[in-house]
Amino acid sequence: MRVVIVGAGDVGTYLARALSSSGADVTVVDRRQDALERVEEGADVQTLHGDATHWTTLRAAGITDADSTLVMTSSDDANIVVAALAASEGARRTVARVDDPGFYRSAAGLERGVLGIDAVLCASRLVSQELLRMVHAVDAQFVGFFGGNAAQVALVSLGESSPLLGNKAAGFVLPDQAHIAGVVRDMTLRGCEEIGRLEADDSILIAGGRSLDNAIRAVSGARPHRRTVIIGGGDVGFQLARGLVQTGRRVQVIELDHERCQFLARELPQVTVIHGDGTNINCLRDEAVDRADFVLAVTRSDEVNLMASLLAKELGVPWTFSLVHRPGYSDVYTHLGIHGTAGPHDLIWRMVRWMLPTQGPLSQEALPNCTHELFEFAVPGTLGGSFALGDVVLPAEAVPVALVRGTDDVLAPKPPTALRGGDHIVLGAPSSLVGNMQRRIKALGGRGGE
Amino acid sequence: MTPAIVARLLSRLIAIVAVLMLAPVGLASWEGDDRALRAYSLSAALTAVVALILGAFGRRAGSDFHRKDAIVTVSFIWVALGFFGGLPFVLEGSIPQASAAVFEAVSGFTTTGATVVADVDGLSRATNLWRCLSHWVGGMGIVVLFVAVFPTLGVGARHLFRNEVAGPISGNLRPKIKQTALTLWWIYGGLTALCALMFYLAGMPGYDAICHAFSTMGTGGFSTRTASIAAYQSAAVEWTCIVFMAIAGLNFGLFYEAVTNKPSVLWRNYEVRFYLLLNVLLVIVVFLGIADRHESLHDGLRASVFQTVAVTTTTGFMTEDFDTYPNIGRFLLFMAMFIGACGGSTAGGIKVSRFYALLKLIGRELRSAVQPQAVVAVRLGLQPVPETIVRGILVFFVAYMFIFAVAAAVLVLLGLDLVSAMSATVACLSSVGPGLGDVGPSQNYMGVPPIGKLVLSGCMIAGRLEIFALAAVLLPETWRR
Repeated sequence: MRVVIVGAGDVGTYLARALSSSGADVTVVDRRQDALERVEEGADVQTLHGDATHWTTLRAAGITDADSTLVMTSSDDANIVVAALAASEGARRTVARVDDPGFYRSAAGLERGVLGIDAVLCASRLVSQELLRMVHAVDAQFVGFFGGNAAQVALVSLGESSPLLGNKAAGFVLPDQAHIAGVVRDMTLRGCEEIGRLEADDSILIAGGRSLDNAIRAVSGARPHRRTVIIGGGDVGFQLARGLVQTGRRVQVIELDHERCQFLARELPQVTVIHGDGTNINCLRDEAVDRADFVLAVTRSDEVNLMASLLAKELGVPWTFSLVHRPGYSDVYTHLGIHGTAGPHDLIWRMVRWMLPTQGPLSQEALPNCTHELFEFAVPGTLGGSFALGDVVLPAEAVPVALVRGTDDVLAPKPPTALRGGDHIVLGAPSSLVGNMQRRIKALGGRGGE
Repeated sequence: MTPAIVARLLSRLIAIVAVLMLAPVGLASWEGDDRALRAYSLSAALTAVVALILGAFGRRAGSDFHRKDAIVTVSFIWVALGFFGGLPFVLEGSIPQASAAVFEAVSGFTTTGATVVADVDGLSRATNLWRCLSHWVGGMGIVVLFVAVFPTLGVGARHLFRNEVAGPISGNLRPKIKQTALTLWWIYGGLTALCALMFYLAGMPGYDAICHAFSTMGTGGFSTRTASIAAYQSAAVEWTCIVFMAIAGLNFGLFYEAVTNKPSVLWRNYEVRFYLLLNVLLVIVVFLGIADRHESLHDGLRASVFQTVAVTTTTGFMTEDFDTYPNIGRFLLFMAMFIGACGGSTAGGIKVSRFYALLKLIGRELRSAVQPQAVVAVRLGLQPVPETIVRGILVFFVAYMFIFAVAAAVLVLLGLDLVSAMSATVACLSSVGPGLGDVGPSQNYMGVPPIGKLVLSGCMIAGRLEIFALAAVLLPETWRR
């Protein structure tokens, strides 16, 4: 696979390294020679010094032969121009990074087909969605993302307070169109039908769309966590605040810039906007941050985010999350006891990986305390018509978990839902069955439906 | 630098040397030459044992390696090549003196072609194959071969590659360094096969054709005959040799571009044009000096082209003793030894592109003397060269001259006359082979004292690795973890 990456910044470098070590032939284009030298130092890639807004540069980089062109410079405008130019020159699969949330029609942080660009990604929105999910997932044992962030799968342990205890799993209706995909009992994942009455030691695997918050609480019976403090009111903070308010939480935003505060106060009437410094401990005490359930540090500076998260932790906040800009910093945060981190480089990589052609499963996630793992496969686009799920011969141990259609729809893989070409299917199975499942799904490409 | 990682890399590289030795082993056993068979099998076995010991030492090393590990590995393997490559010469008894055997092996792998053997015809066929094979492997580089052959070396492979490939700007031909290395070896192997075929068609026996093809494409200069190419007394052989020496002096990246992109790069390239211009000018001067010695115009032209190309491509084959040429011809050939051929070729020397850049720099300085406000970029062809590279070229030139001066001084101290000492040093530093005077084309290097041979061996390696990889090993910073 050949990939051209335009822009040798943090994200471009991270993608170059990740793609190159996964076997792709990578060419990195940038205007800055020193940035290119840094990329070459850390990754086995070819570099091209030149301005990517010139079509001669793009031609020289080989965009017409490349399987994908990823435009990741720090300028939104340049990214749109370069990606559109590449698309018009005949590049396959162009992806551009555009951070301004105003560019997007939907809340997905992903826009397809604009100016012939296959996908436009919003880093700030991807980050805010990721952080929202982390906030929602504090009551779950595990949360994974499939279908390029469209689907969420969570494993929730029942405990004593669950309303499901003693009931049958099949037929229980969850909020927000989520569904119960299976039950983990005795370290193995089983379909709902196999299990009789649920016990306190069981864990439930649920799957759904972009928000599993209510579904997780419906299964676990945990009390809702209400108070959230966001430090930094930039694009990420703004979108986080809006998302959290929608799920019925009390949100405070602490922002240093006065003008930005006024903007936030205008746009988000239910949010308390504080003009202050999130790294000042007196400011945090005054605002009673110690009584918050969550603190999210999402300024544009890694140092401020780290300091603010540590201060919040020191004040006794149970869950702190942070935005991380520099690749490689997240381990440090975890060591220091920050509950979770999200970085644009990692999220864009996840989206890119989902869009690129691959041999094996698109993604793979291990479940805690369970011998089964989760795998995502793409159904070949050549599958004609739709195909009843029951007719797909899968290994007996494999449990279908979710079906992702397009960029938004997440369906329960049960009748009457049928498979279509281009769908993504998430399966739970022991990892020894990967090759087997891969072959069977690939074989679907040669079959026609009814 | 991590010793265990360097040990593991070295063990694999030395294992390649052991495998290469199987070629003369095979030839000796085919021909029933017991003495050569014993010498080469023993050498291969000893080399393999050293590789195993180093491999055991480096067993626990992680797979990631960095710039320092790569520099140390490349320098060490080139020194090690001298020892392991010289082993069979001593064991066989063809070159009993140890320092001479090391000199011959280093001369082989660095594609210098300076020999200590007076009677090449008397060497066994296995030994002549080994000498020419070492030219061929050393020409494109054993580390480049290693990078091309071994899977998953990761980013470190890039540092290994950079430290062995010659030229001021070594860009990647293809996205992955392994592909680049493989591509270079394919081009090199293909051209070598073509060269051997042409030699064969021109009338050389099969064995001679293969050995001379190795020697020609590596721009080495070892021959299987004492009289070098002159032994064949054939115009066809000589013209074939001239063409392939000239090809081996071009940037191999250009061939890739010519095949995949557009063939016109071969004559549009500034370096190729300047290289050809230099050669034409030299040929004219040499020809005017020796025209009256030959019966026909063609003979005179052929002799002058052959000697000139053999020197400018740093190959060092000969059909005539250029030490007997008129002084202006001798002097210009001596100066041409400094320049060498194009960057990215198998030739040695300062390289035409660097020399061209130096001339341009002189022009820029002159211009700024009369028009100080003018901002002028140094251009090589159409491409402006970044100031960091310009500085690198200047420093390289100074370092080259400095090494030349020091090594020549040592040789003078050891008793060589001025002309012999200077020409021997530059002939080794630029990997030409024959010099002037006592080390001229009709002489050999046996007369140089053992210390002088080791100094010259050092010069050959320094010249092949373009000085800095070897010099970096001497810095204490390289050895700190």
